[in-house]
Amino acid sequence: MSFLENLYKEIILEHYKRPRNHGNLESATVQQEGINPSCGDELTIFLEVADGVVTDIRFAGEGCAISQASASMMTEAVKGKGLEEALELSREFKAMIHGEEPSADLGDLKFLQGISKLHARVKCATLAWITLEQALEQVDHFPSG
Amino acid sequence: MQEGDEIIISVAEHHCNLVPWHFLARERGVVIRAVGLTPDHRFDMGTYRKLLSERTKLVSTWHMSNVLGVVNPIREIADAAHEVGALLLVDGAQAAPHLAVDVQALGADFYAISGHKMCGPTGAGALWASEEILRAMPPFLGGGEMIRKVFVDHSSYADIPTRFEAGTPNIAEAIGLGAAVDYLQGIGMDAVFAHDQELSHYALERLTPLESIILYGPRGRDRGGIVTFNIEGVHPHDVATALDGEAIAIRAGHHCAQPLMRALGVQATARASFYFYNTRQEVDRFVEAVVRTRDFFAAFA
Repeated sequence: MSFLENLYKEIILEHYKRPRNHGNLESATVQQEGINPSCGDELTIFLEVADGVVTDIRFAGEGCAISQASASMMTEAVKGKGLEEALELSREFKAMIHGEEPSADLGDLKFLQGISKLHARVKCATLAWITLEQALEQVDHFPSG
Repeated sequence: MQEGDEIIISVAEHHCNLVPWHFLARERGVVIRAVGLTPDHRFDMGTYRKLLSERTKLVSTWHMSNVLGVVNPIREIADAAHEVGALLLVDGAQAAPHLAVDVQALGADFYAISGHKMCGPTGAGALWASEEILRAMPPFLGGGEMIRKVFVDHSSYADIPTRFEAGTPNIAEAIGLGAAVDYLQGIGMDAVFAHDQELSHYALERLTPLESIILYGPRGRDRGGIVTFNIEGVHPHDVATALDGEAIAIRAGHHCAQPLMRALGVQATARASFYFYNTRQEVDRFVEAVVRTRDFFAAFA
């Protein structure tokens, strides 16, 4: 497999070209903007939260294939999860991007593992997740205790 | 500078030649005016002349654009600034590595260069200003070396230029910058520019007829060794990664020029920058890699 085929697996390009949960969310409980300091990626995460569960999630914005695919996959993985679960998923994703073996929870997100070898693209892959974490912080009474 | 005074910059500045003026605007109520680009991506001299007035105290702009690769007509810009009593500061960070700089011939009042952009180490650069201007300027940084006499509660300052160099300097870096200057002068700056230009013009020639490749910056004798481009439907980060996979290093993003990206109507661009160590064969490799990248992402549209 060529370098590009290995990195940009079909599923990643699929999420890039046809992103899931893309657009605004009128009923959002919280929204959070994120910008990639490596420049050229911006997104906003919208969360609708009820009883400690992410009942709906959207992302808006523009950016590279990696940042957009990661955001799209993130919304699919997080929708319907509890707040603590969502945070844990983010930790697991970042761990994978920083070189660890992907946990089983990550599912299709494991196809982004190749980014762990490309330091310049780490911030692209983690942008949506870091923004998600900042959005979660905004939710009242979370983290609890 | 005082409230109401104006500074003229362009939309195509590097952030280093924008953000400091924003501080001044906030602290002193100085007004910033921006010159736009012509349709062929040059500094709009027409707008510039209209913006100049007796309120203009400083004009500050690039010698060569780090994105568009175009060289500004500094002498013309300087003369127009001086006619209204304004000074001209030139950001020569991109130009000094690539072409011969004669500050007197340019008519600049200030000229800034950056060591790490001209084969030197980080942590060293220079700001040239005319003797008259330097003598009129108070020190901005206080400490050792820049003094003449120091008492408990007051001090007097050294002559220029030492007056502006407080503390022990970055000695190793300064020596490194000197070595870089010697090295470049050994090649000859006119030869460097001619080589850069030959390669970028060749690259532009090969890229222009290609489908889905968007090019920025003008053609012409005032265009140096930079080729900034986009592949339709492919983000510059992904282009850079694809080329990286073929051992070709380009830069992608906003190149520290966000207002310029907005003026060009894009979020980000890819940039190939040629220098005295690049060859025509490398331009061919670069163009072919761009085509392969375009085709790879287009196959999944």
